[in-house]
Amino acid sequence: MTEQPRAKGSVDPQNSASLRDPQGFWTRFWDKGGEMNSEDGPSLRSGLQGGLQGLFNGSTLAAAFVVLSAVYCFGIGRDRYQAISEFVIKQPLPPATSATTVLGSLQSSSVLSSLEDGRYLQVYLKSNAVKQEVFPDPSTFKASYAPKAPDQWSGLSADANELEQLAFFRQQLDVIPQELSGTIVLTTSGFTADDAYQLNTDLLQQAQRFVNEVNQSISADQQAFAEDQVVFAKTRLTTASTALETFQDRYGQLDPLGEQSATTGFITELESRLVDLKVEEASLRRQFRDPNAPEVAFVADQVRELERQIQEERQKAVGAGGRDLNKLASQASRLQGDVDFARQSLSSAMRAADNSRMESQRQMKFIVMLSKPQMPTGPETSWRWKAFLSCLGVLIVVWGVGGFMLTALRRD
Amino acid sequence: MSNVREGFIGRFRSWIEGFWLQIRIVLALSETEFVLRAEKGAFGVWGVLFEPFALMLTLLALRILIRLKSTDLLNPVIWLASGIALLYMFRKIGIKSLTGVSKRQRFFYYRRIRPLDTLLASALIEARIHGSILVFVFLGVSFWNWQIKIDDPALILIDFMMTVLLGLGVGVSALVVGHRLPIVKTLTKFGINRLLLWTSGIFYATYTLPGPVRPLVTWNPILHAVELLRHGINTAYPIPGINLQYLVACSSLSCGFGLLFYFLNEALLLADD
Repeated sequence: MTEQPRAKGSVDPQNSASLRDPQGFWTRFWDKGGEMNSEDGPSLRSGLQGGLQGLFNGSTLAAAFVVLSAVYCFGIGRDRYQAISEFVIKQPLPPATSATTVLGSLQSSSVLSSLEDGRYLQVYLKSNAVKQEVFPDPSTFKASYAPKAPDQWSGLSADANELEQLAFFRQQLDVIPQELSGTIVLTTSGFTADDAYQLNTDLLQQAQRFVNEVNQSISADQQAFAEDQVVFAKTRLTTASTALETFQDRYGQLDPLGEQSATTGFITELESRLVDLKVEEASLRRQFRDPNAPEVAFVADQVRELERQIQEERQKAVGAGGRDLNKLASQASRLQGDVDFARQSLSSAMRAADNSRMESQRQMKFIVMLSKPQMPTGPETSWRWKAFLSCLGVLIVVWGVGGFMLTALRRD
Repeated sequence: MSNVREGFIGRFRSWIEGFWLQIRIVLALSETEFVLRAEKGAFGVWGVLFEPFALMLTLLALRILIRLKSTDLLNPVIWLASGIALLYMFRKIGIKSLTGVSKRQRFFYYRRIRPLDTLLASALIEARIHGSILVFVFLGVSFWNWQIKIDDPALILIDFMMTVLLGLGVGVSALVVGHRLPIVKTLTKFGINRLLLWTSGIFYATYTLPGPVRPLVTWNPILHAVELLRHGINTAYPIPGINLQYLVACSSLSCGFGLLFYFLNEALLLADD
């Protein structure tokens, strides 16, 4: 299709004017003459009505919003100052436990540890406890951030309650852990350079105190627990040793097991001698035909006596009326086992307490400053552009999304 | 002196009126396209919005089923929707620029309407659709979590506009060059549809990629746009190797070359039959 020439007369002056001036507002007032006479009354009224309609027109409202935003952002809005510091929380590790990275995809344990502490600090530094530490006197806090003419919208009002003060305090600082390097960036804002710098410094002190207190409290708890375990083990060993000594004193024996062993050995010897005598008796009976011969009777008597003695010794060793060595040996074995176990427990508890003490000293964390806060030399101007662009963004979103939805609703 | 001043005021007025007329033409064409698209769709005017939304929900469901939590820095729905919305907006603007002129030949009967006006109108309607989708998703998730978090709205706005300009520039450049070299149109469609889909960071975050692999994807300005949008929602979201300057440069160059090619070959587009 080729381009067609413009059709003549298709756009008359009236349509042309409406095309140029859709609202009719400027046409009525721009092209009018400046003279007023009695005949201008009705036209003035219609002009005023048209003006009022034009005032509430979307384009006019949008333009007014943009102008007001620009005036506030670049004129009325108070100066804001920013202080930025950057630090990392390091924990000294022995070389053997440091993690290796593969293709740079795995983060080292120190980075992860610093990130973890950074996230804790994100919550802690915005807590009411820190606010109370940094600004113990609420009136001082309110005075520092009170609204100031001509900008009456920025700042903390004098009648702000605790929640509002905390919300305002949270807006003045940003703690952002950097995922890749593990560093933590602390940004503070204020209406004066001193306020921003002092707030940053105070928050760094609070962060240092938090890291130290957490370390110390954990170490103290671990150390206290280990020492308690040592005391407990010592008490147990003392109790077991006392029980064993009492047992030994009661039965007058130093070592029932040893005595039982000795008794068994004695009986074994007797039995061995009995066997020898029986062999001799048998030999004599074959040698002498008379069983009542004095040589045979002498050995036979020894055999009977030895058998009787062996039986008697057995009874005395294990019988309840005798020494009852089996029972005593069992009891002694149990008590000795308790003592040995208590001694081993004490040894383990003492070793654990010593390790805990060494671990607490080794695992202490430190805040390493990478970039200390500097006193701001001038106001931060980026917030003005960000705020103005945000206002434009709101307008564009309202027009883009809202207008689109209104069009859809009208067409539906 | 007064004649000079009146002449200056007159020229300024005519310039403002011409600019305002241009805006109205683009808005009118945009609304026309919206109506035409609504008439073609099964769900009327709402289908224009729900069609890309349904596609996004399908991809969201697949993604969420596979991995419930992409990152702990952003809500996974917002994380995924931001990537899909930007890429699909770029695709729609770019591809429509390739084919839109030939479909709107009848509008060029009116001398005041030029092919560039129809391209701008298409870009505007796509931007409004996908912007609405992003806003609705964000508001829905914020209402679900009862928390609104946008750290840098200005960055989000600039990022969105740069993406629109990038799509427009790439589309117009490919359109004009494609009229002389038809293979360019085919390659551009393939590149937009296939290559950009896997290098635009829709299904992964740049900071999760190993360092040596990142240069393979950071050449793509859409990746920068997607990651910057995510970074604008939460400034703690890391964006290694991503910067706004690269996106602005790509958008400016693509728009610049696109407009240059266009104005040198506008008659070629009008004579297309």
